[in-house]
Amino acid sequence: MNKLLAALTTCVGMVTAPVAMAADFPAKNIQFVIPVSPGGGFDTYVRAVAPILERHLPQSVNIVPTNIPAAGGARGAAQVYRAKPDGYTIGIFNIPGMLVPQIRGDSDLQYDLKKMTWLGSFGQDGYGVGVPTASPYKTVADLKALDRPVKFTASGPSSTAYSATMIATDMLGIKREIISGYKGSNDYVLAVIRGDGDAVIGPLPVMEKFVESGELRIIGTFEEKSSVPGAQNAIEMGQPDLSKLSVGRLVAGPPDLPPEVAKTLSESLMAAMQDPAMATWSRESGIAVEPGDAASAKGILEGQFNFYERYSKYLGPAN
Amino acid sequence: MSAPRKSFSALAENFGPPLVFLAVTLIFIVAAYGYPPASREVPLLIGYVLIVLIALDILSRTSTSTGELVRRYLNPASGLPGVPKSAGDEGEEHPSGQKELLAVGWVAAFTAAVMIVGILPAVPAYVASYMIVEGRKSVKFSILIAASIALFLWLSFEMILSIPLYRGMLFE
Amino acid sequence: MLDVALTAAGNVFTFQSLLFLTIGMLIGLVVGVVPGMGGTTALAVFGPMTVGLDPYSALSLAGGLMGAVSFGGSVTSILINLPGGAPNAATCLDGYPLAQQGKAGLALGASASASSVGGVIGVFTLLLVIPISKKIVLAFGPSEFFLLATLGLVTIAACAPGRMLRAMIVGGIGLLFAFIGFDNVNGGTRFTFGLEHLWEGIPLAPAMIGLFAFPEMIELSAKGGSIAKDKGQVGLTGTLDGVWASFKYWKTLLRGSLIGTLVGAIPGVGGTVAAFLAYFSTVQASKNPESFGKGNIEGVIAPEAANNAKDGGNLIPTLAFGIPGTAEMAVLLGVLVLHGMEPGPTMILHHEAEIYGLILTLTLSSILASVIGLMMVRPLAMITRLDAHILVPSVIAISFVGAYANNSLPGDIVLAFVFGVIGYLLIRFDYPRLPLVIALVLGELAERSFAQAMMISGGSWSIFVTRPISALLFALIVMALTYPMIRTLLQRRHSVEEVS
Repeated sequence: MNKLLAALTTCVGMVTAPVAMAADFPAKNIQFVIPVSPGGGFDTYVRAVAPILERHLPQSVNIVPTNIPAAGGARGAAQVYRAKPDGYTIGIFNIPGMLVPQIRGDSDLQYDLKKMTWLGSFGQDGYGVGVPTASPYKTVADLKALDRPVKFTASGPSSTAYSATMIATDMLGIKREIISGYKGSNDYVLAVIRGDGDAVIGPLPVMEKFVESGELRIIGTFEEKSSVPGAQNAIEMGQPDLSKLSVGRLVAGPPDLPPEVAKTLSESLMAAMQDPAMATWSRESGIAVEPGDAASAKGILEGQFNFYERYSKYLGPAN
Repeated sequence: MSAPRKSFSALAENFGPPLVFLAVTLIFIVAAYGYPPASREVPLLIGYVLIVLIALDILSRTSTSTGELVRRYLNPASGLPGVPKSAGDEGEEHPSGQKELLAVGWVAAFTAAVMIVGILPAVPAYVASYMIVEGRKSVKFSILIAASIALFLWLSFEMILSIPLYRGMLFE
Repeated sequence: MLDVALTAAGNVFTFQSLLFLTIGMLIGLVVGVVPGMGGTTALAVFGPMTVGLDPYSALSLAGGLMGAVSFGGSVTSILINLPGGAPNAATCLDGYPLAQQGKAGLALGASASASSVGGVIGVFTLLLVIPISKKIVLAFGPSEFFLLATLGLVTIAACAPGRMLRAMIVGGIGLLFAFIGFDNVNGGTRFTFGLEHLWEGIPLAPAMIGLFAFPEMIELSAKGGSIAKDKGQVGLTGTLDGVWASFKYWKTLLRGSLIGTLVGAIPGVGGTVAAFLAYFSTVQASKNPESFGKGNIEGVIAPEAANNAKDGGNLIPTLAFGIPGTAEMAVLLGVLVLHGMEPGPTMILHHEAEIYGLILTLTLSSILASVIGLMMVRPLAMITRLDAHILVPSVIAISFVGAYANNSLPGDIVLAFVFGVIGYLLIRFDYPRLPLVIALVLGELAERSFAQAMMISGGSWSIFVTRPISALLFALIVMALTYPMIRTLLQRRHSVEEVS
């Protein structure tokens, strides 16, 4: 009789404990993993949102931004993937940056983005085509018409910028030669201004800063509606699919996160991103934030998966 | 000593280092051929130049006249081993092989300890035991120093910098 | 411009800002001393803590930190031949021999004053140059980077007088090591031999810690005694002489500072190269180059001025275009962004006052850190009197932790040990170690820039002489390579003539 009672109590305990846990969530500090070194764009997003997010959680705990660089983000991603699904470890992910190794089939990959619990998105940056202000090329058609390969500057061969350049130039029918190896978007955009190349395909926010200072001209944007006056958009250039080329900042937790915990995290994140303090920071620093909830994050992920699976041949050989 | 001893150990000490460098260079060269042409260009260039330089180094260690020439122009600071460079130049006495090995051994043991049990236990253990065994310091003093170093590390890294110190393979 | 500067000054000279300046400076000094940790780690840890503070407090903290690290790093370079950070490696060459001669105070004093003046000159140059900073950054492309890296590599031959052949061999091996890891230009990993830890290449800090901490400690451990060979001589009297020495050798000081600023302004090249180039050029310009490496005070003044001046130089591309030339600058940019300053070419347009504030705090810190450091010279110099059996395990323990803390990777501890063995073997068999460090720092930049230059020019080598700055650098390289040989030849001819 005692044994049966003990067993029953244990069963009841096991069933109610997760629910009780969820109701108390969060009860201790939450680790927000950043898979790159301090100082990059992703790092800044997390550090800017952390104090605001703390205010929107049901219980007041600390959000601890933790940099786990190395292997282009794979290490940080693996850490989140393997973490205990209790809601105390979440991370920010560069999509499609983290996607590419998975689609390419890199050996030793220790995460599966399809299984992560997606919580929200900070938004996506679109790409565009830019040339130095003094350049004779006014439209993408001018680049196409060139009888020699157009020189584009980009980062290394496994980067998003590189594959975006390859995919876009093929879609647009531009003969290209890529001058690769620059370290970061500021660097390869500056390179084209310096004259290392003829044109550049890069993230619009980065290029827009150089437009403001008068060094660059954007001649085409890979958006459905062009945000840059005078620049053609993707539809005008004849390739609406170009709008799928983007850099997204998505937040996720480990697989199998209990739904209540995920909901709490997701809603708090959304509230934080919509907080006026966030908007103020965004305006002052010139870094755009487009709050997206869990569903939209999942949607972005799936869209990107489909796109890059189609263009997987551009992603380079598997490591 | 007017002429270098031709014993094996002297030969090894003289020609060993450049041969080791040669081995390392060859390993890189062989590995380089496994990569596509664009990736292997520069490493191969450096590798082949190294082979030439190492050959010159080997030459400079022989007692031939060409060796003498190489020595004079490219490496005047070191003479042939066993021959003093100039009168009255004692040079630095290197400690005997056994003492070196012991010294390296202590650090190797510390490295192993850190990897197995982590930084915070291994550090005081290493510092204290080294001071007691090799330095023949009193046990109390050694433990004091060892503990203060461990405390300093804990305070500065774990507390102030929030950099958790490695816990070791046993505990990760 | 003056009114902006006054606004900035008004905001910096408040109690709160000065408080944060002091805090930053103390952190910088301590972090600088710990081997393997430098401004980057410190900024990365403390920078984000400033969220919620006003921008001037945050900038005061950052400026305070950055201005103090280089001097902190020189302390261990001089006292135990272990660079506190890569830019301090050149300081070991003459700093440590001075400590061995019981003149640690002299060396530390010189380092303090050289660091201050270097920092001030670097910042002053930055201010002068800000209006044309964009032109400068745009003038340096892959072709120039390649030649600069080569110029730095050429110093390998000169950093071990009398051992040029062996220096070049070690440098070559170092270059091979530099190629380990991910190839940024062509993709794919090379020479990792199956070790995942090597995917990103050989991390500089643990390798340097191993190369420099280990051998000295092993020797001490096997021989016993203390660093200062004659304990009785270790004293404080040298310190003020040291401080004054920087001004006595003002040409060296100026040369070091200018080289530091210029080289620091080139993204990607960094303070280590600046310090080595400053050292190397001082050796060449000296009337008795053979005295270097044995305790020539100018060999401390030049690199220490350079590695502080580089902070001013580093800010040029960072502020002009938001292009951080070094990891430290990248972290600084992150801190600036956190406080609502957008990185990129517009930052300096929209936030002039804050930028001047940062510059001012950097200057102040550079000077104050040296003053505080000087007050600590006596206890610090006493380290050279410590018995080996206390010093050795302490240094090894702290160094290895520094190696680990760099990236929080346990593999780095093993790496430090491996490089320690390599370093010991190198000095045991009379090969110089410094070329390995130089090669590790510059190898990747050199290869990548070369490949990019070739892509830009379409395979033509003429790019290195047709671009004006490239041509100048090319000439400098040729000069650097031939000058020592010409000089030796001329000296030989002199001595032959004297004899006959």
